[in-house]
Amino acid sequence: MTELLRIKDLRVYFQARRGLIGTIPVKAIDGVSLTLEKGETLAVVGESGSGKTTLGRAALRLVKPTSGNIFFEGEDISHLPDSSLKKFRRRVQGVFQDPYSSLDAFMSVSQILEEPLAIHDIGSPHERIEMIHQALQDVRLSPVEEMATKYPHMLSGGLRQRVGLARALILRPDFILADEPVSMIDASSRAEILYLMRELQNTYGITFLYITHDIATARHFADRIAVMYAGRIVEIGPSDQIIDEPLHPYTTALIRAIPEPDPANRLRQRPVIPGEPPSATEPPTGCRFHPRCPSAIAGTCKVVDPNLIEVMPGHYAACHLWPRALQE
Amino acid sequence: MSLLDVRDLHMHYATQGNPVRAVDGISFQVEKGQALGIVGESGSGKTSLSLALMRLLPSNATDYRGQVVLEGEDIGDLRDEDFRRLVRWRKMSMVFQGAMNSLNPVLKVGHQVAEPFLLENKGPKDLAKERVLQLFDLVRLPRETVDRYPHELSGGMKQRVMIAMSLVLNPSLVILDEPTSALDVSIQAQMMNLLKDLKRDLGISFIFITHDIALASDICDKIAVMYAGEIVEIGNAEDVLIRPQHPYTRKLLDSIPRLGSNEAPQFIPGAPPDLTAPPPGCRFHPRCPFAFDRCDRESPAIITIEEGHKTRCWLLDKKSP
Repeated sequence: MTELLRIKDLRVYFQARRGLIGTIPVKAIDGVSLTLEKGETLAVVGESGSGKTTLGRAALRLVKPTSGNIFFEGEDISHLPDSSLKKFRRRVQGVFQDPYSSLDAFMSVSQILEEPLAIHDIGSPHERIEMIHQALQDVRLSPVEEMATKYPHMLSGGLRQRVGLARALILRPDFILADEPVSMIDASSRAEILYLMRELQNTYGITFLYITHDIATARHFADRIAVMYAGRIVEIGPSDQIIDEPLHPYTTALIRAIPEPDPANRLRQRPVIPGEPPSATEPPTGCRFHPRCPSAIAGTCKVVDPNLIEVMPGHYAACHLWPRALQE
Repeated sequence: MSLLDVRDLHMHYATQGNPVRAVDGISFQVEKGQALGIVGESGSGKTSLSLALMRLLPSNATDYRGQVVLEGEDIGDLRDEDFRRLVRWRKMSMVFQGAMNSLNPVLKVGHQVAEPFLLENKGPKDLAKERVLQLFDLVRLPRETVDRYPHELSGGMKQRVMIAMSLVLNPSLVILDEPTSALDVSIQAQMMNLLKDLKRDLGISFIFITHDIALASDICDKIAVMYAGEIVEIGNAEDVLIRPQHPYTRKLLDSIPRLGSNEAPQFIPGAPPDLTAPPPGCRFHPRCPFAFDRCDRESPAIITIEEGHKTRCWLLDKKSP
C-alpha cells in the first residue's frame, strides 16, 4: 500500500481566555503521529475533548498546526500559506456532523453541489449539470432531476447528509474527512450512510478519516481504529484486534461502556471508569489516563509518559502495562 | 394495580392542513418500581407522548383525550390547576431532553434544585437545604456542588443536578427523555448505573424515552416500540429483545452495530411517514419487507403473543387468510 497522508508529531494548541487579560494554552492535540494508506478507512474514536475533531480539521488544514508536520502525498502542507492551499483543497473534502447547519438553507441542492465546481472553475455549465447528476446518483438521491431542485428544509436528516456527501464527492477527492457523519441520524439509518461511504470508497478509491465517538460503528466500517484520549493516541491498530484484544485500559473501558441489547443488562451494574476526561489546559502528569485507570502502576504511571509501542504487528499502545513503553 | 395505566391516549398538533397525529391511541401500564422503555426513531411521537402525560401541552395541541390513571386516581379528569398542584412534580416528574442546558446560568445549582421544594413547603430554608444535600448525596454529587453555578459543572454533573431536581418532591414516577444522549459513553454508563441504583433503592418507576433500544435494555423491565404515533410492540424486555415479533422491532435490533459479532448492522430503508397523512392500514407497511395486500388496507389488530407481550402486525394474526 502507498501512503496518502502522514501526520508527524502534530500539536495544535489554542489560546483560551483566562481572566481579563491572560490567556492559557488549550492543548487540543499534543503529539499525534499517524499514517493513512491510500484507499483505507481509519476511524478516530474518542470522547468529547479528546482532540479527535481538531485532528480531522488539521488534516484538512482548516486549523494551522502549532508544531509538527502533515504530509499529503509526501508534500508538507502543514505550514503552506492559505494562498497555496487551493490545489490541496480540491483533493480533500469534508462531511460534517450536523446536516442541518452544514448546508446553506437558501441554496438548492444543485446550487450547493455547483459551488465547489465554481470555486475551482471546473466544467462548462452543461458539464456541471452532468457532474451534479452523477454525484446525486452516486449517493442514491433519485430521481436526480427532482432532487437537484430541492432545498435542504425539504429533506430529512439522512437525505441531507447524502447531499453533504455528494458535495464532498463532486470534486472526486482522494481523501474525505467524515466527522461524526451519522451521529445526528437515527440509529436505524446510520448503517445506510456508512455502507454508502464504503461503496464510494470502493468505486473511487477514496481514503476516509472517520471521526466518531461510537467505537461500535468504527468496528464495522473502518479498517483500523485509533483511540484518542486527552490529545493523544493511546492505541491504534486493526479494527477487529482493537475490539477483540484491546491493549489499553481506556479502550477496554470504552468497549465495556456500550450496551448491547440484552435484557440481562438491567440486572447488573455496568463496569465503569470513575471520573471524567481531564481538562486540556492542565492534563495529568505521566500517562494522562492514570487518575481514572483501574490498572495504574503506583510510582510509574503518574510520573512517566508512556510511548506508543508496537505490541503486536501493526497494533500499538501507549501504556506501561506493556513494559517496553518505558524504554523507547 | 399498576402505578400508571394509560388507555387510548391521543394528542395531535393542529397545523394549517391536517393535524399531526403525534400520539395516536397509546395504551400501556407501568408497574411500581419498574422501568418502561419507549423506543422509537425521531418523529415517532415519543417526546409528544411524555408531554401529553405531563400535560405540558403545546399551544397547538388538539384532540387531547384518553384515560390516565396514576396510583388509582384518574388524573385525566383533573382541572389544569389541580393537575399542576397535585400531580406534576409531586407524583410524576420529568427530565427533559437537553434540560441540563436550560439551567439558569446566574443561580447556584443547589438553589435551583430547592425551588420546587420551597414553593411546596413554605417552612424554614434549612429544611430545603437539608433536602438538597440529601439529594446530592443520592445522585453522588459532592456536597459543595450546591454552591456552584452551571458553567462550573461538566455535562455529566449537570445531568445529575437535573435528576436531583426531578426527585425533590419524592415522585413515584420519573419520565426521562433521552437523559444520556448528550453525554460521552463513559459518562453515559455512569448515569445508567445511577438510575439503576435509584430504581432499586428508592423503588422509583421510570419511563425511559430513547431512540437506542440497546440503551433501553440497560434499565427497562418492559419495552414499548413506537412507530408513527402508535405502539407497534410492547412486552417484557426478554420478550421484545429476544423474541421480537414486529418486523419494525426486528429491524431496529438488526440496525445496532454489535461489538461482539462480525455480523454487519442493517438499516431500514426509507424514512418514517409524515404524521399529517400517515399511510393507510399499517403505518409501517411502506418500509416493511413482509407487507402483503392486507397491510395497506386495514389497520392491524393488537395481537397477544404471550402474557404481557403484544404487537400490531397482520403477519401474526392466526385468523389471517
